[in-house]
Amino acid sequence: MQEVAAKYPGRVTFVSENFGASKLADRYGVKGYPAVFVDDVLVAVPRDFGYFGEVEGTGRYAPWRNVDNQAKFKTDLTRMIDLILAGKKDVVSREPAAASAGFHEIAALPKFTLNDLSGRPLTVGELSGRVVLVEFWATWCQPCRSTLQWLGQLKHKYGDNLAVLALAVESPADKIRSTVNSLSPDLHWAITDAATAQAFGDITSVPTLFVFDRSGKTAGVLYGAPPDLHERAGKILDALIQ
Amino acid sequence: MALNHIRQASLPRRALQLLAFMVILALPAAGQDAASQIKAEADRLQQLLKDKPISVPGFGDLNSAVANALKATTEALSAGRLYLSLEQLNQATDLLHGARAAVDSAQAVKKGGLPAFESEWGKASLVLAALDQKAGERKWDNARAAIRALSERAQSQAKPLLDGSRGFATSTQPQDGLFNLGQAQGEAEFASFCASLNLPRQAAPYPLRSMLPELLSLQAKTNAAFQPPRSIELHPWFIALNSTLKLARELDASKFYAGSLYQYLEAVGQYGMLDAVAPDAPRQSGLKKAIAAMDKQLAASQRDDSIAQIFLERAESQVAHADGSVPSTDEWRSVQVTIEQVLPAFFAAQNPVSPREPASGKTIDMTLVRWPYT
Repeated sequence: MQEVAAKYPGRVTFVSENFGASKLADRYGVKGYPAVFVDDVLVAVPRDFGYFGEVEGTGRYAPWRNVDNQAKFKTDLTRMIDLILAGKKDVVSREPAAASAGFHEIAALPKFTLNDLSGRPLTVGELSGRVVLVEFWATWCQPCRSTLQWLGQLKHKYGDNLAVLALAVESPADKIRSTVNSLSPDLHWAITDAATAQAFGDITSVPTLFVFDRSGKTAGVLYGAPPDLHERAGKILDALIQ
Repeated sequence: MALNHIRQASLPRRALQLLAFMVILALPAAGQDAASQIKAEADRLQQLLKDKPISVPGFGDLNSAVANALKATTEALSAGRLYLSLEQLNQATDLLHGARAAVDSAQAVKKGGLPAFESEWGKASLVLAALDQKAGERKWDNARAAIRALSERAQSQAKPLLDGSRGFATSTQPQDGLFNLGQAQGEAEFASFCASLNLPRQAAPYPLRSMLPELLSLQAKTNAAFQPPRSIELHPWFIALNSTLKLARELDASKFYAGSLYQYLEAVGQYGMLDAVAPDAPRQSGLKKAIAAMDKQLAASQRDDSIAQIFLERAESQVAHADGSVPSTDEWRSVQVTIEQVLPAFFAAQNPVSPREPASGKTIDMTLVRWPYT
């Protein structure tokens, strides 16, 4: 983006804002990152850059490691800037990103079928009647490690009232197993497949935590690992498990 | 810039106490000039070091490193090099806080593991988030650009150090992340201290602007220069240079343009050092004259050229050691790069970049919303 901005010296300023502190993102209901705005128009949403379990071709610039996708992003961005500088903001506002700004957040625990790490089937049915916490994590995600350790403590605190699912994405199986062995065995550990990731909506980052109440309704979704993650998740759980 | 995403979270009591202390620190001391403020702060840190010496296994002799930085602070002050004294004080503050955090919380974190570290990290994050928000609201209208630059650079360092501490703790041992965590607090404290300095601008403001075109150009030159054998022989230099360029771009993206210019010039100097040859005796003599001439030029300037003064003070100290010792070859190389490349880059940066289509006059922001810790 800085390279694109540099093509417009004195006319386009590159600005970086933090997820969670962006008024622009709030205005558009963007719940993940990265997101890109030109002027005050949303031109790229998180799923454009890929998400876990994506269907090939649905993320406009995914996979991002592909240089052709990066070039396409630069071309699109340049076109949006040119349009806005030419006073045609309305044209940009009708582009797909701005139109699809609303972030898809699931309303209830979706149906899925996975095998846990020991090969035992893991289904939604066996979780019914309990508060369920689902964390999507990866072996390469450093904050995930401390979050997983903390989830073990939560499980210990709430006992059978709480079911915790730790679903690994985009991680080698051997590293997943070595991580699990060093952490709490009381959680339900599984390797996520594409269908399950898709069922949970736009998982564009790890950790992502979902909390569902005893009836399966979504009680909270927490993205990333901000410093107050444990506090926020703890409040939701305390309210659900009296 | 960073950390604002958590500013609405409630602050624990200990965090509030620390925040209150740092806010008090940020209040200008009535009637005290900047040099006295710096001296008082250096004395305060010296006393802290004396009262509770540091001993951190694996970190070498940090006690001496902090003491040396504080000594260099007061020596620079005595020589009238105020900005250099601040750079030295920055180093001392950073190291002292890092070491103190590593010592004071080590046992608790060793015992409690990652959750204990995470607890420390969370508390520090909340304090830093509050300070970061304050930093973004600072009014620098009457401040010298150099003070603003030093403050912005330190503030922007806090975020990657905070992030790095978490990464280090999870990748190695939880207690290993404490040093970086303390450093982050030290940087934020130094940024607040700079903002408290009683040093009003006395000349016309320097025309600060985005340095993005220059930064991208220098990044491209750096990438092109990264070829064997230099990429191997000078690997640490390239790492430092790329790190400086990254920081400069972060500052620029946050519209911290004084900090961005400061770090751009730092990068110009680091890039120049890749090829710099040692000046011979006649050239050394010429460099001394150039320093004196530049000193006069900056003193007579009708514009706030204090950011250039930072680099000139460094050069002056490199050719005139307080103990009378002879400058090293690397110091002469550095002085040469400062005179021939860094200061000219400073003066070139005062010119506005030419808009591609000046007729329209419309300017817009392009905003990236991203995860703050990477």
